[in-house]
Parts: sequence; structure tokens; C-alpha cells
Amino acid sequence: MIFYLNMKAMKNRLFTTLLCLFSIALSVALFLSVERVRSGARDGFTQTISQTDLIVGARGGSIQLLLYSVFHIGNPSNNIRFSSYEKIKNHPMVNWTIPFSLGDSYRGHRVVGTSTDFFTYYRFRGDRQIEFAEGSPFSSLFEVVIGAEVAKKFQLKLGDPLVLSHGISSEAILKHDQLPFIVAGILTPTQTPVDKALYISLQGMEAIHIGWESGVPKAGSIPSQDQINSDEIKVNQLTAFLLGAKNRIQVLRLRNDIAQFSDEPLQAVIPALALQELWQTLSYIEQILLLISLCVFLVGLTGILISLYTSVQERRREMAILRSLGAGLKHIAGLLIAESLTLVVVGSMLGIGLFYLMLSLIGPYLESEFSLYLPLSPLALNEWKIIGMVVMAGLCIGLIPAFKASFNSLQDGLTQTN
Amino acid sequence: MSVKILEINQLRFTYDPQKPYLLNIPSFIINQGERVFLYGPSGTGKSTLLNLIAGVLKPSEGQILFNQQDFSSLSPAKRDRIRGEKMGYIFQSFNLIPYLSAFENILLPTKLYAKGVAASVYQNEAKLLLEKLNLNSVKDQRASSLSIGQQQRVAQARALLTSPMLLIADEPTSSLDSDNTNEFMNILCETAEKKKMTLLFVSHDKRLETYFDRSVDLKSLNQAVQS
Repeated sequence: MIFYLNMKAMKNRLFTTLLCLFSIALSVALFLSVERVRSGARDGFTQTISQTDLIVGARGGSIQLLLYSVFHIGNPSNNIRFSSYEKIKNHPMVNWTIPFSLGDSYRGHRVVGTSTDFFTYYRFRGDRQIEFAEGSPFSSLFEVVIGAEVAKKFQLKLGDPLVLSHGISSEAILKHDQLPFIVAGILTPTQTPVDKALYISLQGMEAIHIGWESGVPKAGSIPSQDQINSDEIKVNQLTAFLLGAKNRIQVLRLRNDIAQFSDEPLQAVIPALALQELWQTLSYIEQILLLISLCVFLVGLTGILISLYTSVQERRREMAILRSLGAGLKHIAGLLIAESLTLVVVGSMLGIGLFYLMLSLIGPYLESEFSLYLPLSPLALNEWKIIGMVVMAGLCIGLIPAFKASFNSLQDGLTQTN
Repeated sequence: MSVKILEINQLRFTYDPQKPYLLNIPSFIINQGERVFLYGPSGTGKSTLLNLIAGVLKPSEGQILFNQQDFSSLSPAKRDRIRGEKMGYIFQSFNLIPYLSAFENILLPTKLYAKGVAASVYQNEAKLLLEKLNLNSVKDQRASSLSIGQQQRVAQARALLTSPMLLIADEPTSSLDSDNTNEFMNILCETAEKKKMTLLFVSHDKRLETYFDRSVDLKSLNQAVQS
């Protein structure tokens, strides 16, 4: 056939061809980026915590429990007894637990009292685990492990002393200044609320509150570090705890058991459901992003259509010549459609390449600066659908000049008089 | 008895039914092997007539028979095919594809329809034509870089290559100087003779009349212009 003409024609109009390819590639890359940000925002959010089967806390709203235990936002309505925790921990269906005790802060960042199980069992974004950039988990009462963002923001290094504040506001006046903590470990970035928190042992949390039983420090009753014996400290209450069941199938039963716990009113929340519920309340964010990506798509598509149309239109005279040499409609339509299809397919492929290039270059920056994790994963189905729509649109736009050429150029070609 | 290649019967044509006919040709016949000079100054409906003969326009009334076939009753695709296979066209503007080489331009019509002739046959034929038309040295140059004379000769070679039944030339010499014109006419007539091609040559240049068997004045042919 005569498709070799297309290659020559495109080479002949190299600049126009490149411009057209560039515009298609840019639109496709831009659209894929917006789309990936949209799905990244949702996935990043709903995968803040994973592999945890239940979050257990005092009875109240499920979103509230999720917010204070996982996102460190807001206050718990009530604490739970340590004895209740131990009973549930020893339930035959329970595999592991991570206790949380909240209430203190460091310069506006939450301090979480927990056990070393946190470093073993906590998972986020699939099966990612807490990792140490430096140091190790706390091993004594006054050691603290800090999240990546805390370390970066306050320029903290291993061995640095820090004083915790009582209460969770950044303007907390009451400080635990007699009992400073030493940085024992710094975590790697997770792009989850873990980065913004500090972790100490439950006993440590208890120790700094000796003498604070009335809510404020009683003069003379605060012991020094030497006076505190870690064996003597008894943890009495917790804020919440995470729980992993031995068998996923048992989660619902376990949840019912906890809801009917006789010692005190408790609730157990399935994190995936609560996260979904919370995301629903934030769905306008996703809708806005969807709207933006729709606009980007429309603008991009218009650009693609204009550049394709111009590119094909430039070949009208050529089509007229071919017409006069006996080329039929199928030849002309074939050539024009092949040209726009080539442009749109090659352009889309370049766009996908450009998208992954941008993702690998800007991705780490977005991750560290905006906690937005965009995976370098293959294109999702709806992303392929978009590419498909672009190609279809390219095909259609090739048909318009082909259709026109079948009427016009016949005349143009034969009676060309300068 | 000679075979009629082109036969026009009671042809009437107008672009706009509200207006009088532009063309009104009661009868015009070209026999096989004939070389006809059609004298037609501009404004006599010359281009319209050529478009009708080429099957680009359809007559308002009457018939055009090409190779004893009513051209206007065929489907557009069939007309395209016949135009591609059986007719050759040389234009005043040469209508070369600017980014193809001279050689590629010449071979272009053979790429559109397979005519049961091997590509190598056409290649050899094209090389002979290049030789004869003194185009060998510019064979691989882009058509847009050739001189006017060279471009016209490439167009000529393209039209002659497939040995069309009817070769229509529309003012092909109007942009050539007299040397080039003479050379062009000699090669055209020589090839037409050798290949037994029928030639319909349209020009406003009366001096070229001498190259042809028969000369027809479009004015006398077309009754519509007489008013």
C-alpha cells in the first residue's frame, strides 16, 4: 500500500509532527498525573494503617476512635482499664496487640506510650513495617523513639535530650522537665501520622505522671530519675489498642465479644471500614480532584484534536494530487486515519513514558514534602480507558478531513490553476 | 472501423440549476490512437469539460462514454479506479508530491492499484523514461528542489509510465519556455505514438496545433457559449 507516504510526509513536516506528538504526550502525561494524584490521595489515606483487624477503645464514635488512635487528631472520650486490655489480649482468638496511651506532647507533636510490639506488628500501606533510620526501640523508661518528621523539624539526633509537655496543645505550659527523655531511635519516613509522633514505653508514660494524680504536679512529689524503679511502675490505663486476630474470619466475632465486654463499655472498630467511612466524609476532595482531572482531560483532548486536525489538514493538497492519480476514498481515508492514529498512538506512548519519568523524578519529592505516595505501578484499568479514549478520539478526528477530502480535493486536485 | 475511446452525447452541464448551461456539447468523439488538440481560451468551460471527462463531475444531462462505458453511471469508487488505471493526467501545475524524490513521484500511480504488472517492470520503465527525459541526474532529488522544466518532465513521465488509454494534458506547457515546450511536445508525441496512446491536449496556444492529427475549437464545440 501507500502508507510509506505517511512516514515520508511526517518526516517532511518534522517540526509540525514533533509539535503534535509533544502536545499529545503532554496532555496524556498531565492527565495520568492528575489521575494518579487522585487515586494516590485516596490510597494513601485508606492505607494509613493496614493488617490491623480491630481498633479497641472506649465506647464512642468509630471515626473519633480512628482519629485519635491512628491520626492523632482530637481527644479520647475515655480511657480503658489496663485489666480489660490484658483480658482481651489473652483472648484465644487474639494474635497480637499494640497498646496506645496518649495525652502528652512534644512541641505540638503527640507522644504515644506503647509497647515494643508497635515496632513488630504495626503495618501500613499493605505490609510496610516500621523501620529505624537510626538507633533502636526504647529499652529503658526514659528513652524515646521519634518519627521522621519530628526528627527533621527539630533537628534531633540520637542521644539528644528532650522534655515532654503535659497535655496535647503546642502551648502546653506544664512540662515534665524534671524527667527528660533521650532519643534512642529515629524512624524512617512512612508518609503516615507515625512520622509526626514520638513513642515512649507505657511505663515511661506512667513514670512521668507520678505525683500528677491531681492533674498538676504536686510540689515535692515528683521523683528524680534515680528514684524510679521500672519494676515498681504499674500501668493502670490505656487510651486504645490495636489488635490482630489469629484468623481473619474471627474478626467479627471478636468485635461482638468486645462490644459485649462486661467490665466496662468498649468498642472495636474495623480500621478499613472506618477509614472508608472517614474518606466518604472527605469525598468532596476526591470529587474536586475528579473534576480537575476531567477538565485536564477535556482541555488536553481539545489540544490533541486541534493539532491532529491541523496536521492532517496540511496534507489536503497532497490528497488532491493522489485523487487525480486515481486514489479512491479508501486510499485517502486510509492515509489520513493512519496518520492521525500513528500520531495519537505514538504520542500516547510518549505521554506514558513522560508520566513515569515525572513520577520517578517528582515522586520522592511529593512523598517527602506532601506525604503523598504515588506508586510507580503499571497503569490501572481506568488509566488505560483514558488512553483508549484518546486513541478513539484521534481516529475520529482523522475521519473528518478524510470525509472532507473525498468531496473537496477531487476538484482542487484536477483544476489547480496556480 | 476505429474504436471510440471517448464519446460525448448531448452533454449539458451547469453547476447551478438556476443558471443557463455552462456546457452544451451535442457530440464529440475521440477514436483510439487519435491525437486531438482542443483549443480553449480561458472562460470557455475547458476545465469543466476536463473534469467531466475525468469523471470528477457528473453531467447534468447527456452521456459521456469512456471506452464504451457510461462513465457517469458508475460508482465513485469505480470511477476513481478507472481514472487511476486507464487515464493519465498532466496538469498545468505539476502536482508533484514535494517531499518525494523524482523517481518516487513517477512510480506513485503504480502504488495505488496493482495492475498485474510486477513492480520491477515499472521500475525499469521508469528508469528508461528518466533517461529519455534527461532526469537521471536528479532522480533522487526531492521534487520541490527541481527546476520548473524538470518538474514538468517528471509529471510527464508519471503520466506516461502506466501507458494510459487516454492521456489528458491540461495546459502542460504554459509555464515552460519555448525550448522546453518543444522538447516536451516531441517526447509526448513520440511516446503516444509508440504506445498507441490516445491524446487529448488542451491549450490556448494555437502554435502547438501542428503536433496533432486533429484540432478542435471548444468554442465551436460548445453551443452554450455562443450566446
